[in-house]
Amino acid sequence: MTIACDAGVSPLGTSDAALVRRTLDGDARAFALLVDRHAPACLRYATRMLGERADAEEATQEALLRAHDALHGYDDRMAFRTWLFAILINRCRTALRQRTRRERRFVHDRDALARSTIDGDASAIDLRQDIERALAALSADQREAFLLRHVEQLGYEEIAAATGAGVSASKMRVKRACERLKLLLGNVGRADAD
Amino acid sequence: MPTEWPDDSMEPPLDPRLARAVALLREPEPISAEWRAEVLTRARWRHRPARSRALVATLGAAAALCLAVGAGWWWRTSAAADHRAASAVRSAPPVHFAFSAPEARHVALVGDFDGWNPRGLPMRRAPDGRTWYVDVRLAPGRHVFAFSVDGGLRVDPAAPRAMEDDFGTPTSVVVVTSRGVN
Repeated sequence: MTIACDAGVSPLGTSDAALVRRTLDGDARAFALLVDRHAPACLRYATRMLGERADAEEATQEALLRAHDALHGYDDRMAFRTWLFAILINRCRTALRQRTRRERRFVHDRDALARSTIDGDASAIDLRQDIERALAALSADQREAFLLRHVEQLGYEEIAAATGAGVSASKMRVKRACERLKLLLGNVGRADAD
Repeated sequence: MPTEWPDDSMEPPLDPRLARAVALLREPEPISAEWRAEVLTRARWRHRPARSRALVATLGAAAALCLAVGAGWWWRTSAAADHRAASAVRSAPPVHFAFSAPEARHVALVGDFDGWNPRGLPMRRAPDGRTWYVDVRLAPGRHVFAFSVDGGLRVDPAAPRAMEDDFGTPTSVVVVTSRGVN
C-alpha cells in the first residue's frame, strides 16, 4: 500500500520547532508529524541524487533516524528543514562513496553522453529519462547544488549551511550544472541546426 | 550567465527545456506506509524520551547506592550471570530462519536480539534459488523479528505475529528455550 504524504503544515499549524520540543518530551506522534512533513522532500532529493530508489530509501531512513537521535542538539535558529537536509546530504555522500563502479545505473561515458542528441519534441517520459541521465553525468557537487537549488528550492544561504560550501561556491556549482545540463539536453540552437 | 547576483530573486532564469525538466524532477516520490512505519518503529526503539531518561537516572542512582553496599557480592554474581547467559546462548541449538523471496536482491534478519540493527544479519540464498536462510544462536526467551527484503520489512508466515507495535510494522515472534525453538 502506498500513501501520498502531504508535506504542508499540520492542520494545527504546529511549527517544526514545536514538534521537536514535543518529540523530546516523549510525544512519538510529534515525530511522526515531522516525518510526514519532511520525508517526501528528503526521499525525492535522495532519489534524484543517488539514482536508485532502494538506496534513496535507506539514506533517507538513516537521515531521519540520525536526526531523531540528535534532536536534543537542534538549534531552532536554523530552519529544521535545512538542518535535516544537512544530515541527509551527508548520508547521500556516504552512499555514493560506498557504491562500486559496477553498480552504476547510468551511462558513465561522459563523451558519449555529450555527443548524444536529444529529440526536441520528446514526451514528458523521455524528458524525465533524459534529465536523469544528464544529472548522472554531473559531478556529485554540481548535482547536489543543482538539486538543492532548483528542485528543493533552498536559498543559497541554506545550501551553504547544509553542504558546508560557501555561497559563492554554491552559486558557481549551480551555474556550471545548469550549463552542463543545458548542453546535455540539447539547447534550442542545436535542435534548430539539426 | 553571471556568477554572482545581489540576491536569489535576481538569479537568471533556467533554459526553457531545463525548466520543464526541473518541473518533472519536482514531482513527489511516493512514501509507502510500510516504509513510514519502519522509520517510526526504529525511532521508537532507539530513543527514550527526556522524562523517561530522568526517571531512569533517578532510579539508577538509588539502585547504584544499594549495590555499592554489597559491591563485591554483586560483582561475583553479575559475572556468574553473564557467564551463564553466554553459556546458554552457546549451548542452545541455532534457530533456523527461512524466507521465500525468489526475486529479492538482498534479504536480512532484523530483530530485538541486535537492537534492530538496520543492516541486520545477512541471509543466504539456498540452492533452490527461492529461499533465503540464516542460522542464529539466540538467548532463551521471547524475540521479535522481521525479514528485511530489499529494504522493506516482511513477517514470517510460519511464525506468530507480534501485536505490540503502534505503527503497524510487520513483525513476528519466536520463543527460544534451552532445547531450541518452542
